[in-house]
This record gives sequence, C-alpha cells and structure tokens, in this order.
Amino acid sequence: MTADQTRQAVLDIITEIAPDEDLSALSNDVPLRQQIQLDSMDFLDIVMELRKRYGIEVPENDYGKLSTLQGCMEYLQPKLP
Amino acid sequence: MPVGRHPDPGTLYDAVVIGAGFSGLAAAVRFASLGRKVCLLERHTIPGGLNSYYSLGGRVYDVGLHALTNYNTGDARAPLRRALRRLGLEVADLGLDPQTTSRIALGEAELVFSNDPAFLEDGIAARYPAEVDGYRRMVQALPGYADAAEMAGRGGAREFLARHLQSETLRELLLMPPMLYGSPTEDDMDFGVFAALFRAIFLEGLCRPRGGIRTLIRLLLRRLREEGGESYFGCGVRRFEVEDGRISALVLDDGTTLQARRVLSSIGLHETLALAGTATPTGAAGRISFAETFTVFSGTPADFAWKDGVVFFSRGPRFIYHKPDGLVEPASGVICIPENFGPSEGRQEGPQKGRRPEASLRITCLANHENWTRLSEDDYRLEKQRCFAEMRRVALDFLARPGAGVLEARTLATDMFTPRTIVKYTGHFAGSVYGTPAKSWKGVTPFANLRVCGTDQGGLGVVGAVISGLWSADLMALSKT
Repeated sequence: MTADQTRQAVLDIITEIAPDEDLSALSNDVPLRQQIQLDSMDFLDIVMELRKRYGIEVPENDYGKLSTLQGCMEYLQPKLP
Repeated sequence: MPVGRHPDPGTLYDAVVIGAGFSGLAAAVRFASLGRKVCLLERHTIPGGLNSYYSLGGRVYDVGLHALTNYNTGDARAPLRRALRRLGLEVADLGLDPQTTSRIALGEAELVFSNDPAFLEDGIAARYPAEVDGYRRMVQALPGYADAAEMAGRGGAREFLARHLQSETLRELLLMPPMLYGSPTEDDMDFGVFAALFRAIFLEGLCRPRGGIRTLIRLLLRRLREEGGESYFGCGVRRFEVEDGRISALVLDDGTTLQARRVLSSIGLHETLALAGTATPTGAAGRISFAETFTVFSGTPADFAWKDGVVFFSRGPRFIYHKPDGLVEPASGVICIPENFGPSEGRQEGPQKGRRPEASLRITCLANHENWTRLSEDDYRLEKQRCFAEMRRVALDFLARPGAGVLEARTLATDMFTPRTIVKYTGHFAGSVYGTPAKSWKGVTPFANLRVCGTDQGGLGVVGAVISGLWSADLMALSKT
C-alpha cells in the first residue's frame, strides 16, 4: 500500500466507528482525537479493526504511535501488504 | 482451539476474566479482539450467569432474561449497536423478535407501551391529559447515552419524576418497569440507573432473541473462539494470591495456579474481594432477589386472549419493591409470555419447534433469600409449591383469567426458581440479582491489576452487562501493568 492508501484504510475504519463525523478535512499532524469526537475506546476499535482487516497486531506500547494520521501512516504502511 | 477443562498454568495471560455472564463474555471477546491472550473462567458448567438457561424434561428454560431492552437501534452510537459492533456482531445476527405491546398494571390504573415511544405518549395523553406536557419535558430532561458513572449519585428517580409529573399514579406506573428490571436499591432507584433503563425500555423498546438467551450466549462464545480466546467451564477461582497490592496469581478450585497480568471479575464486587481474603462488610450484599414460576401450556397465548409480552403488575396503588418479610411478595411483580414476542404468525417457531404449539407463562416476584435458605429440604419443596400457587393466583388477576381448571388441564410442565437456586448457580451473595446497592461505578478495587465489571459496576440487564464488560476491558487494555 502507498502512504495515501494507508491513510484511506485508516479513514475507512474511522468511518465505520464514527459514521457521523466529517473526515474530509482531517489534518495529518494534529491528533485525531482533537479533530473528531473519538474517545479512547473508539481508538481501541481502530486497533481491533486493524487486527481484523489486516492481521496487524498493535502491542499496547505502540498505541501512542497511532494518535495522528501521519503516525498511523508511518507505523502501518510497512505492515500492510 | 484450547477449550478444555484446564487452562494452562504455564501461560502468562494478558487477562483472566472471571465469570461467563454477559459482562464477562463481552469483556473476554473484546480482549481477544484486541489481540490479548485471554482466559475466561466459569465455575458453572453453563455460561450466562444471571441470564442463563437450563434444560428440563426436553424443554429449555431461560432464567433471568424476560426481554432484551434497547431494541430501536437507529442511532449508530446507540448502546446496543455500538456494543455489537465492538463485539464483531450485527443486530441481524441476534434474530430479535420485537414486542407488540407490554403493559403496566397498578391497581385499577394501567398503561400500555410498544416499541414506538409515541404510542406510550398518546396513552398518557389519553389517560392523564394534564400530564402529557410534563411527561414530554421529563423525557427531554433524561440524560443521553452518558455513562451511569457520570450520573451516579445525582439523587433518586422519584424526586426526578416528581419534578415533572403531578400524578402519583403515573409516576408509579413509569417507575415500576425500570425498577423491577434493574434497581439494586429498595423503594427508590439511582437516577442514573433509572435514566438508562427508562430509555432502554420505553424509548428504545423490548425484544427477545429468537431461541431465547442461548442464542446470544452462543454468539458470544463463537466470537470468543473466532478471536482465539480461551474459555473454561466447571472451572471456578478459589482464591487470589496477593503481592504488593496486586493479584499475583489465581488459585482455581482444582488447585491449579494461573498467572495473569490483569484480572477482570464479573462475579460481584464483594464476591471478588472475598477471593483476596477481604471480609464483606455487613449490609453490603444486595437485598433484591427473586423467585420465578414457569408454566408451560399447550396452545398459544392467544387462546386466552393474552396479548402482552410483559406485564408489570401491582395489586395495590403503590407497587412494592423491597425485600419481603415472608418468602415472596406476590402482590407486585412481572409476568412474561415469551411467545408473545415476534410476528403473530409463526410465533410457535421457538426452540421447541416440531412439537405441537406450546407457550409459557413466567411470573417473577421479589423473594427473601434468608427465609428460603433456612428451610429444610422437605419444607423447601412444600413452600415452593405453596408460593408457586400463590404467585400464579395473584398474577392471573392481571391477565384475562382462563376458565376454571383450563390452564391446569393444559399445563405440560411447571418449574420454579428461588434465591436459593440463584446462589447455587451464580454464587452471588444473598441471591442478589441486581448486586450491591453501593455500586463500584468505576469498577476499581484496592488491587492495581484487578477490576470488577457487570452488575456491581452498574451494568444492569443483558445490554448493560455487555456494555460494562466492554468498557471495563477497554479501560484495562489501556492501562499500564
């Protein structure tokens, strides 16, 4: 996957978790939770979906790396097919 | 898949979940879905906890669950939808049969409600025209899907109802279902619990899983297996080993010792603390327990013109909700007719399909645990018979009464459970169904790696329990060990 596709994969997951949020203008560098209503449990839903959809296990020590879209792209891209 | 009788003492589990009721099942599925190594332990041989089932004489009886709440799940952030998504399930997987109507009968007064909140509002407008504006304001004033934890301690439900409604009868009518379906406190209930249950029952509505509670239990067990979680039945925890304020190991009933980084217990707050050797303070056990009668009869409820799925009843103009002085309090309670859920055609296609049509009448009343417990075996059997007859006699006043001897002649099977049965199969102190009145809203315990979920964290009812399990698993998954 390219960085853009990785970004889109994360957005697809967020769309399912928070279908009422507008994701069209999200910044890559600002923590997701400052841009949309996403609580820490919604965040765990992202971890769960990554495992379900792509078989990616995110150890708890790496949770912090997923706080921004940029972080998600850097962390996930090498793990995605 | 390692589903056997003995978990592996050589494994360090990320989480051990104690108790396979709905909160424990949900928590275990969530841990497993997050990639955690999880082990679910249940002392009983059948999962479900306070909402379980048993087989007798070729029939399956549900215990606990009358109806599932929160049926209308239009809002994507509504509790049931949200919980199911987190469990990797969809509403359609549950095979839910919605109610047609249910009824609240209080002395001479009654209100009928359906899964359309406007129907209840119209009923209130027709019977209590002066109150309907107050009722609307009351509904507006209910908090949204907030955590019960945030609402806890904000006064009682009676005070809230009195602020909006003049008629004491109407207040009683509206308080009765939420209270009977989940108040751990006598005579009045916590406002937060009331708000959650009022919304769940009246605004979102009632339904039943086709095939009963077993359907839901099996779905959750299937999800746990799919996610690689382990579950063990007939496998109770005898005690905890404690070191530096943490649970360092769990000793099982068979003597096996398990290692876990985190322990989430759904067996009750004081039941859990007792495993660490902490004595239960006097009065901490909940006082609300129930007895329930089952009458299975041939034919359909329509034969008796019984239309309602659930009937909340009180003989007097004030319903009784405290521990009875005798064995049971037959004057207030709940009737459930499971076959009245779902479309009127094909209602017989329940778990008993293939037989001639049959239906069941369940009557639930408050019961006194100590009084049932001190009976000898012989007296216990006799009192069960006596209370069965008494509960059914009173409850039938709130249904179209069958002709003399007709129900008896059609009866195929009867059974009854008491607080004694609840203690035997769930281990909850005092047969308490809604747990300790002093909830642990945050689920924390004096031990750093031990939390409680389920009834004593405020997760009341099947949906409440599932949400509690998910919430607690999430908090543990996010906490450092």
